[in-house]
Amino acid sequence: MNWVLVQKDLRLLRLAMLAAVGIALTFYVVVASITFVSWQKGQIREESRINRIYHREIQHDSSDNSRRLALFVADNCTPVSILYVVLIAAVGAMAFARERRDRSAEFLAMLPVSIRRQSAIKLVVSVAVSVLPLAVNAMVFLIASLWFARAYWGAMPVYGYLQVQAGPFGWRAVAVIVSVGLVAWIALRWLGWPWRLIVAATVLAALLTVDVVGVAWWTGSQSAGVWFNPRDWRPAAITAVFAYVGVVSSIFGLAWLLSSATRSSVLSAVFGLGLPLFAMTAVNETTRRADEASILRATGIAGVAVGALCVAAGCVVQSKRPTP
Amino acid sequence: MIETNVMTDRAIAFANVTRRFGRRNVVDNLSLDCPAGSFTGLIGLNGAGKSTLLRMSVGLLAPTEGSIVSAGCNVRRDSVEMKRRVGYVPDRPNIYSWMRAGEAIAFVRKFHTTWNQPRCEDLIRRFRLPLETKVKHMSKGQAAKLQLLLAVCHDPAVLILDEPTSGFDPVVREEFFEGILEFAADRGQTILFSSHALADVQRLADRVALMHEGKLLMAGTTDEIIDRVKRVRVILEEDAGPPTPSSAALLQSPASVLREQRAGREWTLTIDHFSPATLHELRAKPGVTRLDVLDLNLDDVFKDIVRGRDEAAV
Repeated sequence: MNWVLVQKDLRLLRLAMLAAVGIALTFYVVVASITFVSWQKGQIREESRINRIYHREIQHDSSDNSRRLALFVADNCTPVSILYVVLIAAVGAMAFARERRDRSAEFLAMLPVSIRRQSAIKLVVSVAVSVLPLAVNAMVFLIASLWFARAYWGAMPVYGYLQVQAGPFGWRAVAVIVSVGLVAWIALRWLGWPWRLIVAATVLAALLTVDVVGVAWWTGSQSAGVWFNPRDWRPAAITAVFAYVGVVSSIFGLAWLLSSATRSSVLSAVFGLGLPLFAMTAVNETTRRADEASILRATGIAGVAVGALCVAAGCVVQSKRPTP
Repeated sequence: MIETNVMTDRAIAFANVTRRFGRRNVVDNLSLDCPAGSFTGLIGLNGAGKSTLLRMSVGLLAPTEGSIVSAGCNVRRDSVEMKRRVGYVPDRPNIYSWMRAGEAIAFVRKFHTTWNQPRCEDLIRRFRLPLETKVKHMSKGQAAKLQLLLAVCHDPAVLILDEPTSGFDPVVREEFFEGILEFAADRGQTILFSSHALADVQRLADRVALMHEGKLLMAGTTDEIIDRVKRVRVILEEDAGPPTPSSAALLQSPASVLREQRAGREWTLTIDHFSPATLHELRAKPGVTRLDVLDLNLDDVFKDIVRGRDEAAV
């Protein structure tokens, strides 16, 4: 019985899983292509600036292209991680809303299995679908970083800077996510297939554009970050992981909660993504002069707590009102 | 409410059930019993509260007040056990649209230890269900038949159907009801279904419950209701004034006027609990020259009750 529910939930999240693979493959292929061409010309860039929200920048002075390649690959795992944040919002948002919308929630509710068990299985599947691509991406990042670190062990860079971008870009991102999401929601109310796919692709493209175009508008003074010594990278890595896990937890949790209360996956995803991003941007804006590492860690812990609370609240809402 | 028979051996029992949406009582302090093995038709206008009542009977909605027992299980407390014993067919198919018919059957079968595979195969053949077709590509009739198959193949003690044949062509509707009747006849299950097709209700149901604006107006066996409600056409003398006192007071208990109309000399009354005594009473009224007693079908009874209430309210 449990396995049947797992299979059903995996089927419902099939699109999200395909998107995860697509995002990763697209970026890896693009990175590999650029790297290969640059390598052939002997012009591998020293820094990757594809993304500015979470940007890892390591200063170094090597002219060894193979080492730079490792750095480049590792650096370009970051935008994949960011797009996965959108994906995780979508996974959380699809938890209940979609089944409510097409009334299959009613079909499910008439099966002799408790709503609590259904929600638990759905949570396990959703978390697995969210974590698996993240884990694969982290693995690529880790392998590339280790390759870089091993190659550079004798001549490690002097310092590193783990950076979390806030400022106007953060606000723009919130505004674009919410406005584009609302437009998508309105469109989805009235449009059928294949327009829905076109709208979804447009939303994704808009988010990507914000990410890439934002680089051009960004001014370095708006960032918050942590300086670290690459020879002792653990504190910075732990801070980064804390912050990232906090972000994705709060986004997933909020999208999950909204999904249990509405019939719209799009609205759940939009506000699940927009509200935490808004809160984090506000926190970064108001506390920029404080100890940034502490803020990032606190943000991470708060994000996990908020996410867990939202998931629990979503399960309670669903148990009280399993059908539209 | 005019009458609710008190039954023992109840398969479905609503006790003082109220469901509020905002300030509106969609179901208002309703009590109804469906005896085991009965085939009860629930009738009423759109918005009468039928679907809400049926959804509450299978736990898809919680009552604001009151309690519901389905197949011997308290719907709120023993919901999982209740779902093992109850089959439900909604007004619109709600099976995952991406599933193929065969997948949907395999999916539901895994949840029921009492799944009756020979019956399932028989229904697949009789309903001519295309197992390889996705639900979203099925016709409305095919999807409804699949929904019925999924609702009956675990041999539930109670089957609840919410306007299952609305929008069907006559052939599909006939096949659908044949399936239900056979199911009920074979196993002696209890069926509660709502429908706007009153001819079907009269033909199939042995009991009828009439809802209006969230209240239960009338409940009983179909034959009893048709037997006890009569339309009486009274021809009055030329110069007869309006009947006084009011028509309701004209008749002694237990008879009661459900609807009255006056057009010239013709005074038409629809009377519940009609009896020969009622006829004598009417005949004895001054100005009455002629009386005709007309039998009604369920459709007429329903319309007269609903219109009578609406006219009385005006």
